[in-house]
Amino acid sequence: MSSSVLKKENENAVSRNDDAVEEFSTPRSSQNPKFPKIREAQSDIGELRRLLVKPGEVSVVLPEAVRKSSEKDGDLAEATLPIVEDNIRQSAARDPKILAQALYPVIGPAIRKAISQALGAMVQSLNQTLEHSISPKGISWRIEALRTGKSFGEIVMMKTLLYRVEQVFLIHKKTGLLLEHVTADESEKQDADMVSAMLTAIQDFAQDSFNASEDATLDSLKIEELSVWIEHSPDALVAGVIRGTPPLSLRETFSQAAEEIQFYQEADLKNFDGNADVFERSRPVLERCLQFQAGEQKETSGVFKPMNIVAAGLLGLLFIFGFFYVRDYYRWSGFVERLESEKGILVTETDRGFFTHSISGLRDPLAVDPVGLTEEYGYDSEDVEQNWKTYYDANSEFIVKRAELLLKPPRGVKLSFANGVLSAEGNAPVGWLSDAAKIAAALIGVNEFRAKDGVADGLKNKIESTVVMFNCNTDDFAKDQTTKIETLVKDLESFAALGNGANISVHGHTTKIGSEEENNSLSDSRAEKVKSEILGRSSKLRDMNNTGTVSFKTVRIEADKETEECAATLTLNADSE
Amino acid sequence: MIQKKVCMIGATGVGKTSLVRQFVESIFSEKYQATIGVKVDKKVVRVGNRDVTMMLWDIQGEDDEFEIRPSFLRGASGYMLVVDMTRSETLETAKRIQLMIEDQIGVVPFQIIFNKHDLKDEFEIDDSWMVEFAGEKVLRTSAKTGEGVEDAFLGIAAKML
Repeated sequence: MSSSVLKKENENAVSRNDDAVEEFSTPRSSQNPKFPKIREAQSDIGELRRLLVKPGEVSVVLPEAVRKSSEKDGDLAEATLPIVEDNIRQSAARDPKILAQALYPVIGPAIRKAISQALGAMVQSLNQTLEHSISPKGISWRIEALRTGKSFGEIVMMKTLLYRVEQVFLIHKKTGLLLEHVTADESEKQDADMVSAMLTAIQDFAQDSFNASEDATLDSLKIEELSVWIEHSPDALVAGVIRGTPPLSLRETFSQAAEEIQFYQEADLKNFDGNADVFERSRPVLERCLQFQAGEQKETSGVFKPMNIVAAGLLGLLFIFGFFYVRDYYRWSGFVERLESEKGILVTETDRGFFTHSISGLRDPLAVDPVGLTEEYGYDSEDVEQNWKTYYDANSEFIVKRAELLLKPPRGVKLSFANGVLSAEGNAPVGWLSDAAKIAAALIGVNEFRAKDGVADGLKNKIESTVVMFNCNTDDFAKDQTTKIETLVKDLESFAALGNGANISVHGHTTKIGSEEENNSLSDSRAEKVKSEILGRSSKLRDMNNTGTVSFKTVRIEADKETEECAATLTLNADSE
Repeated sequence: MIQKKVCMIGATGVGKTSLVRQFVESIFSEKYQATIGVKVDKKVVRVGNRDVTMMLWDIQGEDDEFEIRPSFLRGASGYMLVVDMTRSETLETAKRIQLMIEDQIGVVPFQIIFNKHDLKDEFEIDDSWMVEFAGEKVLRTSAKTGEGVEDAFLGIAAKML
């Protein structure tokens, strides 16, 4: 008999029974047992009793009755609530694992959702905590947050999440035996059986050592930058070996994998006898856990990333700065070297600053002008602060220049300097020579002034053309000879001051009148008189005579037609005897 | 390939670690190093025409201060109960441990091993005691010489299949 037919019959039966009970329950019927309807009702009651006492029949009727009751009102739910609660309580008390396993597919996602919300709150909190971070990295992340419109916390999380899941183990929880193993890189494959067993052993050891309950599980291990995350299902563990810092969402991936394998292979897990071949089915699930995140590199691509542009800009600035720095270095070095090589300039201090430079030292007024040189080396005059103190260079070039400025030598006269002696060469007026000799003595570095051959010729001629007149037959000076003698003395002083040395010959002249003897005597006497007069009038010449720089000699001139006169004359010879 | 978890059980110092080392690496060292907690080793053996991966859980030996942790025994397909022939008290310990194991994980295949058979002058256990505990087929081993070691492990492997 089909179930639908049976259902129909039962519905009819229940309907009939309802009517019978209604009629049977009336007082009239009960008072008239012989009435035919009563017999009919009694028959129905019998039928009803038959249905109730047979469990099989009740099981057919009960679902429909429950459904009708639920549709009608909530009495049935209310009535059965204490029983259901009691059943659950008893089940949990007897073996909590049964209930836990039954609820696992429901509780797992619910817990994950709750954790996800908690993590969201944590990110929020992290956001606030990092709000005040002022590290350079923090600032750059903050800029990125502004640029991308993401929250600062999100950026921080993203930047710190660089990881790779290298291996995933599926481990049988009870035995610790490896069921399946996937790796991101085949070359890194280790002895997965051993790893699997040791992970289980570590968990057992930890549980025993700290008296933790059986439900307390080892969730993660950390060895330097390697982490092992373990997710538990009732009969299996999914353990991932992760290099780097994984996001918490990865745990959800592991958890889902554990749940999925538990769900689809629960029977295999429970009946596991050491043969893990059936768990090859779970490989795709485990491979989903082989995730990685390359962090910043993954997020952006191309060369025009803001950081690259900033870096390129900085590099460019650095290059430009470097160019100008090097160029300035060579310019400044060249400028300083040039000044150091210039005569009449002594550099004592230099300073090459970022914007302005300075240089100090000593400078001869006749040296090259350093301010003019700055422009030659590409500097504006205000770029270089110059502090020069005056000094007089004892270099021959500068001594000659200075002498030329002061002595103003006439055309044809050339000055030169060597070993402390300033020399003049060429034809010079007598007056200039005598002035030059005096001024030159005051020049720095000049010990002596000399006029070379030819320079004193004019003076010599003047002296040698001087004729001192005497009264005839006497050695008395003729009238008005004093001025002439004074001039002669000055000229002789000038001549001697030129430093050439002088041998002065004083010639005594006579007429032919008289005896030769008398004339010779007169000649000697006149020459001696002039010599005495000269030395008597000039202390300089006396000193020079004493030191031998100047020598006097008297010369007797015998009278002849050409020199016949009452006079004395002088001749000069510059060469020392 | 079939995998089986096998626990090495016994009193402390009976030679469990040495037996495993001899079996897995064919090495013996006189130096005694106590096992703390558990150490896991692996050896693939061939039983009949099947390869079996034996995961050998070498569990810290039991003494006055340490009792074997039942959690290490969970899921074991078999166990080796090791007795030191030169120390009679290790036989008593083995008997006590066996009762505990059967209580914890039920009856599973096991192999009783009387180790240190090379130290003949120091025996403290009579043959009759051994027979009484292990039955007629007494398995004597020496982790030092390697005597009986292979047979013992292959024996338990065969029993587990």
